[in-house]
Amino acid sequence: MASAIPIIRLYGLLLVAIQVELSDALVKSLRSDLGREIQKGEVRGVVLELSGVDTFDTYIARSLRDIAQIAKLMGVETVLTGLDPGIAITLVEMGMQLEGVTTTLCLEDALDALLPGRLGCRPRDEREEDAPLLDERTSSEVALLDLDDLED
Amino acid sequence: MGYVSSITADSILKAALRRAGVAAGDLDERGIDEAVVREIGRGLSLFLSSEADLRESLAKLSALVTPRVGASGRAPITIDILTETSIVDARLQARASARGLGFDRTDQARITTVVSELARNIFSYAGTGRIVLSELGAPRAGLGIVATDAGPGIPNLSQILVGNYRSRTGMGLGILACKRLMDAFEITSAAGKGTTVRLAKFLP
Ligand SMILES: Nc1ncnc2c1ncn2[C@@H]1O[C@H](COP(=O)(O)OP(=O)(O)OP(=O)(O)O)[C@@H](O)[C@H]1O
Ligand SMILES: [Mg+2]
Repeated sequence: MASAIPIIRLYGLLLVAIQVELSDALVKSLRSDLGREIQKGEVRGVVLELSGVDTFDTYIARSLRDIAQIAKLMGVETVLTGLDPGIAITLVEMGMQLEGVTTTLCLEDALDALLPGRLGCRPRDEREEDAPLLDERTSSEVALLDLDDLED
Repeated sequence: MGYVSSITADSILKAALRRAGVAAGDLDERGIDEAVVREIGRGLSLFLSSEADLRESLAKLSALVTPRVGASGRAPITIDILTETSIVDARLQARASARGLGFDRTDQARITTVVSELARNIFSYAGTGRIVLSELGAPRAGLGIVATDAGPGIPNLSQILVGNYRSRTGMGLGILACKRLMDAFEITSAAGKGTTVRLAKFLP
């Protein structure tokens, strides 16, 4: 059995960078491990960094959505970040929706969304337009943006 | 169209298999390869009077061979779905095949996702089964995916295919996703006998 996916605590955030092939067993243990970590308290947000994930089937997508919803019930926001454009396109074409899940393009944006003003790598006014701090676009909208980008 | 009686056909086939060195029991596993076709052709030429009939029969036989052997002649890959970890195996094999055939990253994601759905359905609903990945040559290059099981079958298939189904276990999205993400899709299922899904994704 593969070892569990590490959960890193940083500035009150739980950071999970998934770099392994996600078996169902791993997904299940991640879900319960995260629940337990959140229960320990003092968690301001969860970041799931997915740039190392190259398959997202309905089960995985649903499980990650469940994780975000469970965290939300416990008062903690979850951000998915680094989704591969190919996966985003696949999810949209499948008709898979990640309702209520916040997504950002890169890890910095995810941290910024969950810890506004804390990191300050880029001053607020240098950011493109007046993007909302916490990106409220659904993942499918983000995926559609990716589709448009690819067509350029 | 020339006429060959079933008794004659049977003996032609037996003789061809013997000459090609293929045991009849292996035919399902190996499929009809070039050597078998050549030998069947030799047998047929003894019985078919017209050259045109012979050519037509040989063309039909060759068509049976082409889907199994692609441009590069890579052998089909069979993944037995036995446990939950087979789902990951199937996915890894699918990605390797898709990459090897030159599919771009988006198509690789489509292909691995579909294979993952099929493997999961086999594991969840039929228990065991297998997935065969094969390179498609003529008429269009690409990847062929066949998922078979001898499970309970899908009684409400038509309902699922029109999207009127929301399952208790999942979202009722897997089979529809297969259809949406691939270029060719065919599913047959019989109650108590099992389910076969055939798919193809073509290279652009
Ligand atoms: N190989 C199979 N053998 C028997 N029944 C099957 C098989 N594959 C699918 N089914 C049945 O068809 C239904 C629809 O399958 P489909 O994969 O579309 O959705 P799901 O598995 O219910 O949910 P999802 O795939 O979205 O997680 C299943 O709920 C199951 O009842
Ligand atoms: Mg399914």
